[in-house]
Amino acid sequence: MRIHPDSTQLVAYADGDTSVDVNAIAAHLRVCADCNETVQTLSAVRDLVRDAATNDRGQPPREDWDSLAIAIRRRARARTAFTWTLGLAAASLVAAALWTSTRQSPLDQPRATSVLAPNIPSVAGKPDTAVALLSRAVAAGRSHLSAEELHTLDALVRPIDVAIRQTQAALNSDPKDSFLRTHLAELHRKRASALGDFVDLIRSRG
Amino acid sequence: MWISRPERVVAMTSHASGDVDDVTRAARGDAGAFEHIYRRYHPRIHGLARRMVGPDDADDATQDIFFRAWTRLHSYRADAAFSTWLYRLALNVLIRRSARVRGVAKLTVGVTDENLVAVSQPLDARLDLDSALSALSPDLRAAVVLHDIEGFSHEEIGKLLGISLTAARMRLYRARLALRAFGARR
Repeated sequence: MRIHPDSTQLVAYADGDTSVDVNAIAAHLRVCADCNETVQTLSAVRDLVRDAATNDRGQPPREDWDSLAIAIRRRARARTAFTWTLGLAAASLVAAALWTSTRQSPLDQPRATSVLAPNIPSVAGKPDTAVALLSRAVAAGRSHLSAEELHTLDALVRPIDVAIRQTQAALNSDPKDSFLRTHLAELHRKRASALGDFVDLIRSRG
Repeated sequence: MWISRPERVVAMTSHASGDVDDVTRAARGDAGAFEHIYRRYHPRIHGLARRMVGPDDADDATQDIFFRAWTRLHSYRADAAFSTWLYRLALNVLIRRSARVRGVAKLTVGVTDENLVAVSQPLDARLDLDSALSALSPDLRAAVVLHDIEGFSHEEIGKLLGISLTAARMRLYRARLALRAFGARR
């Protein structure tokens, strides 16, 4: 080998990796002091690291299954709540949609802004802000809803609120958990979506 | 504890049969099966974490890795060994955590002409490993930890880090010269 081996070939040779042309590199090292010194350095540093790791074992690692198990159980509870919330929300939305469709045609009642729900923003933007505004609108318009409708509203929103509280509590203890943050945002969006349907209902009677 | 490559391979192979059953059950939500996985791999993952993020952060990083493993078990495909999947996940977590640690950039030893000149200086027979490793960027640190301490081959390092064989060797080369320069400065 007349030209110098590149750095990757030298490190492979130093580590005894036979996938490179070992004979050619060895022949080059016999006539090239620079490459020879580099290989010796690469080998020496590797051995130094290995020796240091062997001598520096440190304390035996401390297992902490209990705290991990708690975190896992908390996640499982949040997922269960999420699943139930989704199922209940979906069922309630279908029921509400069916009930609404039997009472009126959307074409008969345009979605005009009323005094009950002025300037309600899109729930696609900031779900938590939209939820607060929608909640106030629904609270102000509860008198326009029948007992049956109020029952449906509570059955729809209450489990979402429980799931939001549980997820928020979990997030407080682990603020970096991206899953929980996403989950919380999704819950707020579900709540906004559910409330939005009732705001529409209230508007239609305003 | 340093485990030589043959011992490491035997240890990982002997885990494989138990892994399949435990991983299958754990992916269905069986926390008991995941506890078996945790106790089986904790020492090695903790050892990797200790070298990658330092002894002070190793416990927390290890818990983080296993928690993430639990939440991502559904993404594991049996076409690769579970140990490989877990190591890859661990390295992703550890490299991210390392990169977040402020001050690493300031300490990181770059490979410059000056470093290469330092190669000719005598090598210190002892090395403060934690200090030396913390002086490397997370990518270089991962390469040297995986090869020189954990015993993975160049090709395995490439697969674990998601880089080519050439890139893995280049990182090893740069890491060792940087460690050499670090030792020469002290």
